[in-house]
Amino acid sequence: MATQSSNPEVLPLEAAHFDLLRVPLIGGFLRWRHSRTILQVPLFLVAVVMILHGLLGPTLAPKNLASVLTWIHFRGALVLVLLCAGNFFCLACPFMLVRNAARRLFRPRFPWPRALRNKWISVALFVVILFTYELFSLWSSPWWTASLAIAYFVAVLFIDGLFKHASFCKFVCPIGQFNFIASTLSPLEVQVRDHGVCDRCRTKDCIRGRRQDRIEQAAPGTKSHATGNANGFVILQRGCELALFQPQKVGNMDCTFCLDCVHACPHDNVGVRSRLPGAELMVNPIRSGIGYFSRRKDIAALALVFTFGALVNAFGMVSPVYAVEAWLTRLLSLSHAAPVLGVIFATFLVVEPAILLGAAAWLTRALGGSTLRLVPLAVRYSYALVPLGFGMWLAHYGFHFLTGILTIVPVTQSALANLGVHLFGAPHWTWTGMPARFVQPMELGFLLLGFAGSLFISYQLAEEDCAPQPMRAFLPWAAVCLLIGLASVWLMFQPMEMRAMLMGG
Amino acid sequence: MVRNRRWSVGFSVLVALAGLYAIGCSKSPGALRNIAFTYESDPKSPRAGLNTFTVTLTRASGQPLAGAHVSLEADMSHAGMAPVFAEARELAPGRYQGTIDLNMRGDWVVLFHIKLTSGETFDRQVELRNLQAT
Repeated sequence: MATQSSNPEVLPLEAAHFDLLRVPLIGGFLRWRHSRTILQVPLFLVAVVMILHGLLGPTLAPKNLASVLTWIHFRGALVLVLLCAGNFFCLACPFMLVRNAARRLFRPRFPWPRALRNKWISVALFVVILFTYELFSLWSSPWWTASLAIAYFVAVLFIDGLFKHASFCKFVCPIGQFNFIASTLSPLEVQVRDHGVCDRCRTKDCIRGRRQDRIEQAAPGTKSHATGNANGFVILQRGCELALFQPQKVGNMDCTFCLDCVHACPHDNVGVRSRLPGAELMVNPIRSGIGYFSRRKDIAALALVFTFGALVNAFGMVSPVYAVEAWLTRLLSLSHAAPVLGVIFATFLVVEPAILLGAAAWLTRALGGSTLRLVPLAVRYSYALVPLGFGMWLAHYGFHFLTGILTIVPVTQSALANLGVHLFGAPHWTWTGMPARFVQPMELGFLLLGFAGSLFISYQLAEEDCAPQPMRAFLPWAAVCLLIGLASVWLMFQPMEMRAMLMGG
Repeated sequence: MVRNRRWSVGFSVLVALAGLYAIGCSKSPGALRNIAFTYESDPKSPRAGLNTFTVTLTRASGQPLAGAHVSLEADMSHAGMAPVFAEARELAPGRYQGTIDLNMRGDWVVLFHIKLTSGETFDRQVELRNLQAT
C-alpha cells in the first residue's frame, strides 16, 4: 500500500503521516465496528444523569451536575480535544446512540429537502443558542440546561426519524457545526491513505456502504449486522451518511469522525491521519459533499458566527457589558432584556462583520487589484478568521475548564450524599482547579496562536489572489485580524463577572 | 404488533419525561413556614469583598429563636467557582451575625443554613445581583 522510495530524504507516503489507526490498542479499538457505541454509552449515561440532576437536583448551578458538566467540563474538553486531536466528540455523540436505537423502530422515509441542504438552519440555531444562553442565563439554570439536553434528544429523534442519512448532523445540529468549523484547525483528519487504491476500487463502499444481496444473506451460516433495504440488498456496514466520498473529501468540514468509512472500506485504506491544522482553509478545491468553499455563503456565515460569536459570548461575561446595556436601555427607552440583547447581537454578528469584511474586500480590490467582486472576496477571506474565533473559544472555555475542573468532585459527592451514599467524607467544596493567574498566560497563548493562524491563512489566500502584489491584498485582512485580535485580548483581560442575567440588578 | 411496540415505547418515554418535569417543578425548598427570617447587610448594598450579614429569626408569634446555629455559604451563579463559607455568632437572642468574603464581582447567591435547637434545619436564600467593587 505504501509507496516505497530509495531516496532516504523522501519519506514513504505512509510514514509521512502519523496515523491514529496504526497506533497499537487505540487503533485496534477504533477499527472495531462497535467502538463508537462503546464510546457513546458512557456519554449517554452521563447525559441521563445530567438530565435527572438538572430537573430533580439543586437549583443552584454550581451545585448541579447538569450545569457543571455542561458549562464547565463538556465545553472545555470539547475545544481542547478539537485543538489537540479532532472531532472526537461527534464520534462519541450520545444523541446518535439514541437515534440509532430508535431507527430500529422507526425507519426514516424522506430525503432531506433539497432547498434546505445548506447550513442556514444550523447557523440560525447557533445564533439562537448563543442568544438564549444570554437571555435565559442558561449557565445559571440546571433546569434550563437539562431541558436543552432533552430538546436536543427530541429534535434528533424527530428529524432523523423522518429524514434519511445524517440529516440532523449535517444540516441542523449547531454543536456539530461548531465542531465542524473548529475541526478545520485540528491536527487529525479522516482521510484516504493511498489514492491509488481508491482509483482501483470498484465498489466505493466508503460512500455506498458494504452491501449484500438478500439471497446471499439468506445463505446458511451468514452472520451479519445488516440493515434492511427495499432495493433488494442489505447494508452490512453503512457508508458515509454525510455524503463525503473519501477519495474526494478535503479536510474535516462535515466529518463527524464516525469512522463508518473506515469500517466500510474493504481495503483498509482510510486512516485518521495527521495534517497541517488549518491547511484546508488555505485552499479552494471542490470538496465532496460540500462543493467549493468560495461559493458557500452559508459556510462562510457559519465561520463568521463562529468567530464573532466567540467575542459576543465572552463579552457577556465582562464588566463593560453592563455599561453598554444601560446605555442602550436609556437610548432606546427599553425595559426588557430581549431587544437590548437583540441590538447587541445584531451589532456584533451582522453590522460589525459586514463593515469590517466589506471594507477589507473593497481595499483588496482597490490596492491589490483583485478581480473578484466584493461578496465573493468577503466569503473567501471569512474562512481566514476561523483561527481567531477558535483562539477566543479556547481562551474562554479553557479558562472555565481549567479553573473549575475539580468542581465535579464535590458536586458528585453532594449528589451521591443526597442519595445516601457518602463518598470520601463531606463534599470538598474548596476543590476548584488551577489558579486564574496560571491560566491567563495560556489564554493569551491561545489568542496569539489564533491571531498568527489567521494572518498566515490570509497571506496564503492573498498570495493566490494577487500573486504580483500579495502584500497589498494581505494588509486589509491583516488589519481586520489585528482589530479582532486586539478586541479578544482586551476582552480576556477585563475583570470577569460571573453573571446571572443580562440587565440583572 | 410492531406498530404497537413503537407507540408503547414513545408513550413510555413521554410519560417518563412528564413525570420528571412534574417532580422537578414541585420541588419544595424545605423551609419552615412558621419562622420569620429577615436580614441586613453591611454595607447596605453588598459589594465584592467583605460583607457582614445580620440575621433575625423569630417565630410567627414574634418570639426570638435563640440558640440556633447559623452558617453562611455564598455561591456564584456560574458553575466552576468555589463557594465561600462563614459562621455566624449570636449577638442577642434571635440575632446572628456573620462576615463573608464575596471575592469576585458579579452575581452571588447567599445561603443561610439554619439549625434550630429542636434539631430542625432549613435554608434561606438571598440573591445578590451585579456586585461591584467599591
